[in-house]
Amino acid sequence: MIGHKSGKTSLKRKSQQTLLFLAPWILTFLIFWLYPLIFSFILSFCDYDIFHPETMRFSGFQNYFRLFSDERFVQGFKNTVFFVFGTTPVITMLSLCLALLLNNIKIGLGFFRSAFFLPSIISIIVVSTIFKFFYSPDGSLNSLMSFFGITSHAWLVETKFAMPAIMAMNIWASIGYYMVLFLAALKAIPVQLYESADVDGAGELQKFRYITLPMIKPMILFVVVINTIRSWQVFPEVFTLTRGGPLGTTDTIVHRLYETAFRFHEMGYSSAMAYLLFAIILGFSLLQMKLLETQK
Amino acid sequence: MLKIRKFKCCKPVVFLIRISPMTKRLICLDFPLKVALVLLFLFAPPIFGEDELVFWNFWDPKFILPVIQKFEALHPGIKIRNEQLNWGNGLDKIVVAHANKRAPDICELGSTWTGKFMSEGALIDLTEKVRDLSDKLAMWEPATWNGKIYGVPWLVGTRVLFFNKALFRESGLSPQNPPETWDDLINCAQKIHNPKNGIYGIGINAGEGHILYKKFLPFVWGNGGRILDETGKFVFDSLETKEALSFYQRLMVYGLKEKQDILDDAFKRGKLGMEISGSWNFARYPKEAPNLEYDVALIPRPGKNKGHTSSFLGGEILVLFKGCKNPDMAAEFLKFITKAEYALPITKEALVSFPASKEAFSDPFFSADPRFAIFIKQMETAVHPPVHPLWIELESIINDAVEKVLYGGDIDAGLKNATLAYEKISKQYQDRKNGNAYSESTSSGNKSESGETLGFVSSPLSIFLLAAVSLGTLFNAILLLLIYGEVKKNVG
Repeated sequence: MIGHKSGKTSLKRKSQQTLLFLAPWILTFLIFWLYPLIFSFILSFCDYDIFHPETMRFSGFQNYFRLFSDERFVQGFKNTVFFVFGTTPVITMLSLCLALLLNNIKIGLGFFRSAFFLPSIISIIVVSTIFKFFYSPDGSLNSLMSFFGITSHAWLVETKFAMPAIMAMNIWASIGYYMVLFLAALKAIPVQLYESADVDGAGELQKFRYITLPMIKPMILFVVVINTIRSWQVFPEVFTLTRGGPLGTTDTIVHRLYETAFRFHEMGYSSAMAYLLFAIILGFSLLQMKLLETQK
Repeated sequence: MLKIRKFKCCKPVVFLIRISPMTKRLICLDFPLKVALVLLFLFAPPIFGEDELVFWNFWDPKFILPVIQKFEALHPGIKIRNEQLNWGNGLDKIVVAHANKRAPDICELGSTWTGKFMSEGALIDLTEKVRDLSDKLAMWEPATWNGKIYGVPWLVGTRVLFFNKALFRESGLSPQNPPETWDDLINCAQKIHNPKNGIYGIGINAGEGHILYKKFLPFVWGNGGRILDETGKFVFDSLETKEALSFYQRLMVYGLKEKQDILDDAFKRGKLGMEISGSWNFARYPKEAPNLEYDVALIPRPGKNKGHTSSFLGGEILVLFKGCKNPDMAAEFLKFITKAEYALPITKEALVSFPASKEAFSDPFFSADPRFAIFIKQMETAVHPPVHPLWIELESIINDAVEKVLYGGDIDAGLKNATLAYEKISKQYQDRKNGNAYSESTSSGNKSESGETLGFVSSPLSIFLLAAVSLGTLFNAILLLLIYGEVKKNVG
């Protein structure tokens, strides 16, 4: 009886201790994550100018309705969709191809892997600054193009090219990261599968189609979903390279959100943008879970 | 008291390294108390340093710290803490700090931001304290609101016309006669412009925010145009602006449309005949391109007998936020740091802007290079953009209107839309001021460029479009799922 009781208190003590050890994380989570999360959700239903906190009013769904009649936001939304569907398939495909190539290399694997992975560990701000000069009128890209007799362009200033230029940079910068993920998945495929396929007289294409692809399917899924989520949130590239210009052709949801919140100080309205984006990304995440569930 | 508490809350950390049974008991016994102490410790930092004056600015501490040291030596007992902001998010930081009542005591503000802070009543009235400075410093407009002075000008900057002498000679132009009128400017740009060889007539700013209007507005001002009149009415849609815009359209043909840093770089490499730029190039060009032959000139005026030369005037204002712990001493510090002798080192090294103190211009530094004289002369006619609570929105409206024209938009429609956009934001501002919440008929500025009023009429269509896009996204994802399912089935 007594032993049971002391066991209970020690359990209580233990949980208290655990709580103490976890306190730093829990506190930061509560203060810097949960509180802003809830507060911004409430804000998204309010009219709130940070300069006039006293005029904060509940305005229902007005902020959300306003999103749809805000030309700039709609333009930013369309640009983001273009960005997501322009980059995600290309990144997935190219990084898979690179991983397949690297997987067959015996010498210098480490070198190539690091070379391709390097861009993804450089800060995107640094990458953007490099690309700003790479894309400039007499930058390397135009010199290269003129070598092949193609007329030069101001890539980031012409409305037609600004967004594709940013997308190309994003593809270059993130390909290595996903390649490493694919490489890991490829390395995990048991060699026996290929050996028995060889015995059965399967060709390279068949081996890829019936062994490699099904085996790395979870990874493909993971890469597609993670990449989609990241693409929806595209911001630093736009912020450093174009600030949404020219004529708003590179404006994205998060950049619009930033401008609304920190340039025009409309916190309520920008919170509504944030929650719309949240809903979109939540949809994609749910889809991912569903997909992974069917896996099992 | 505070010290003991701080010690106590550190205790668990100390003991956790080698846990003894006693500490275990201690940890468990007063756990809630400990949590409270940890919380207190987390929020403790603002409590310390009560009597320190906090100074936020955008400069390398090596310029600021020596001045603070000298000031502290002269005024024993006063402590000033220097904190450096960066231009990327400095304004956000100041705004958020102000909203949370944590604004610094002393703060440097960009001269186009002050309108907002002054009109919101965020700053301390310094009219009495700085009365004796009024003749000594320049650029008081951005520090003045409703006849009262809320700040002290620290640094001022303007832009002039840079031109490449070598390219002038090669094109048969005289480097001794830089363009004086709009027609001259177009003529020079046309003669130099040779994109086949990678040589461009003049640099036109594009592809980034916040810059274009600074380069374009001088032509409006020089032509007698304005953004707001005395009563605060938006008068940008005027004949003067239209003339300036159509001149800009003609000029643009012989120009390189790029961002400021790329234009500066092209000029440095001798690829650009002319550009409107600032004194920061003086710090770079002699080091990076010693052979570059260039000179500066006043910004051209509309015609021989028409208008005058004008440029953009901007700079740094030092202000005291309400809640400043020691306004008298802080004001003394403002007077101290804006003195020519302390502002000059910043100019000499960074060359971004000049001291607001007029005495500084008698320094031999400015007479050593005749090109500085042009800057000082240009400053006499340079105009500071309107000091207005909605300047940030206005700036974006103007920038958008000019950018539209730059990309082939119609001048009249662009200006009409700018007026509409201004009416919207000013109505919204008035509504807020009167305590009314945002109403659907007013939407925030800088949008609705097509000129149609967007309300409930068009929103169902937009909702439909957006819903279609979202559905499409979902549909695509489902397709993806199906394809994978199919692959799996085949494999199985």
